[in-house]
Amino acid sequence: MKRNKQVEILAPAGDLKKLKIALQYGADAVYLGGTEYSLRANNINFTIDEIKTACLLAHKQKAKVYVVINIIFHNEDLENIEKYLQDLEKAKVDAVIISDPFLIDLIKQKASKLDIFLSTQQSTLNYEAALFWEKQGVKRIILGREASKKDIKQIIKKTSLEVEVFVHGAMCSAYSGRCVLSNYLTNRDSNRGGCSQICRWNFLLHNQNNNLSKKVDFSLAPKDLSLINYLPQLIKMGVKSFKIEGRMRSEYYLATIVHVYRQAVEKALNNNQKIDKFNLKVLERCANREVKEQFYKTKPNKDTQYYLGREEKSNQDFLGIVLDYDKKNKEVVLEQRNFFKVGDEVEFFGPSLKCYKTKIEYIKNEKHEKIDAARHPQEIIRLPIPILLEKNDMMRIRIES
Amino acid sequence: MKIVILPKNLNDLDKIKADIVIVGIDKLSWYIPFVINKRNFKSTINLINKSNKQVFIAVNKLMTNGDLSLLKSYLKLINNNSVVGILFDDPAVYQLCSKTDLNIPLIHFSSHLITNYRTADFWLKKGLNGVLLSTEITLDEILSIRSQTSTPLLMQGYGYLPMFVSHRNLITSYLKFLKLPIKKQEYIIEEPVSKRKFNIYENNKDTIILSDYFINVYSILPKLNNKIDYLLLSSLGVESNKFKKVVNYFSKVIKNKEELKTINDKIIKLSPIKPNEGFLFTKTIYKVKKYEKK
Repeated sequence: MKRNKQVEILAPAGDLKKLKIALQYGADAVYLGGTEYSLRANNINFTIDEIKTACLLAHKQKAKVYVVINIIFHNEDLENIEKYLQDLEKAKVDAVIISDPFLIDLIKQKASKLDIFLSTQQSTLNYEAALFWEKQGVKRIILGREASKKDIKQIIKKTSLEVEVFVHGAMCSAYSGRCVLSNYLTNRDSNRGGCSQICRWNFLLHNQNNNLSKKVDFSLAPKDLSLINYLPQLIKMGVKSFKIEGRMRSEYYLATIVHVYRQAVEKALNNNQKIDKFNLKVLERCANREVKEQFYKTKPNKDTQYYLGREEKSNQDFLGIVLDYDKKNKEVVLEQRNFFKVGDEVEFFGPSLKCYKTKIEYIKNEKHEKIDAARHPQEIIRLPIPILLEKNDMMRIRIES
Repeated sequence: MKIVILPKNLNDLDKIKADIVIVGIDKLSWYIPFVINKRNFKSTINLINKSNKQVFIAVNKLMTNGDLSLLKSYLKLINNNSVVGILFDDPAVYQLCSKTDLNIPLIHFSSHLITNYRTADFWLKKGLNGVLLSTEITLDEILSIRSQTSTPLLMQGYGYLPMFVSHRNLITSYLKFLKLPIKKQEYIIEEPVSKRKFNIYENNKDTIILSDYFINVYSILPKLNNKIDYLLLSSLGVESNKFKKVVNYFSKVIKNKEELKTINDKIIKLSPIKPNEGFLFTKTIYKVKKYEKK
């Protein structure tokens, strides 16, 4: 995979398997959480040995690994943080993404080879704040998701910091780090990885006299973010890193988003401003929520929020992942993910394959017996495919342009 | 321990036994019930000083680039008036004060971010004169922080606790979606399963939600005295005349070291909902796992 030094596609890695997918599909860097100190306490996350493996894998491919230490620490969490930082340095992690500012001096003293990136949890939205963090020794700033085009532009212009911008994925309704709904409604600490996503719940809005939500519930829930249409602008402005949200998302989601953004970034770098409409369609189908540009051009309004229930679609486009290719019989060996049958129109995509459309002529089970449909998740099946496919290529239902 | 109040207005200020008054700035503050602008800035500061109270100015919202020129102009104004402290969350305030050699004490005033002593020390080393403790930590944690840092500590002792700030106009958007008239009035959101209700309001470009926890630390004041430097009493959602009485009850105990058993009942009666002790005796869950030394 070609890696680009000018800009970086930064993908989430929920576990080692997803990390491999992200790198294979075109991420220049991945971010991941250790089993400690990360805001996704419910995720599997990485042990220190897995972080070492992640660094070896990534560095072999000239990609980078960033470890999030983005909780807001309580006294009881402080005990082994120095040792953890030193272990990350030994593991050859490239940078740590921190929220709690006391870590800055500690990293400089105890693990100085680690670059310091400031998390979006600090909600930095102006250049004076960015300059403050630069003075403290922060190398990169991950801007708040509320940053507008103008904010991003000025911060880049007035500081020497690397700037990282969220380009795709879920939004918090609140400023990051300034929401403790979860603490009050579920006793789960949102700033230590326990966020129970209360902003996705439904509420009733009352004024002094009436319930205003008789027909439609009140909601805090925003639609997702996508800045795919603005990548050429962002590159021109000097954004260093394009962040894709979602350490807990599926491997299919990850592969699809990274695949599409990789192509879009390459096009933008080649001064091709034209957005691939097929890829936009792919993005639209892949997410379980609608995407909007959110704060980029103007302030969000009623159209960027969800009101009619969750409106979240479950996605069954992902049909299988390639395990192997049988050159002799020209059959692909696939692990099933969702139901499909003989005659279905499907397509394959992968790190070296933009899109290959085909119709399923037959399906064989593991015993090489012909079957009419692939019904069972993770069932190993074979399909006739004339082109050579690679491990971790994916099959999805056919998406019309 | 100094008593710091967040009043709704300045009526009868001389009858309130507080040390410091927090005043917000229009378009630059959150969670502050009384905000001023350039026109009434000087007169307000004078009025507060005349009642033998000092002034903290809160410029505690998160700023975009568009807010910076307004912030700069207010910092100049603050510098020329008798203000004893600037309360901030956004480091832009610190940065601008350093750049312009503004010599006014700064206090870190973010509602949820100071939860350990090392972060308090970080800000102390930057020359700050205090930090606001998170409203979601336990009493044990407060005492533990106190024992390990010399940073002056602020904590909220009375009032609705802050819970959520969004840079979206959530009420306006919803009313527009329903095609209902947008009126400036009091709103409440209700979680329909638990029936819990929360005050919600728009503050210029942002939306704020207050918790349904209404803290009252009266009963544990003896444990906090000499540990906490500034105790904040907020009037958000409290009637002004009742708030005055509450402040004076707190003052009686803190200044005279009297412990009047009947006072707590009086404070409870004066409060808009039944107060509790917030998270002082409730640990939140989903904490990080301990990283083991090998």
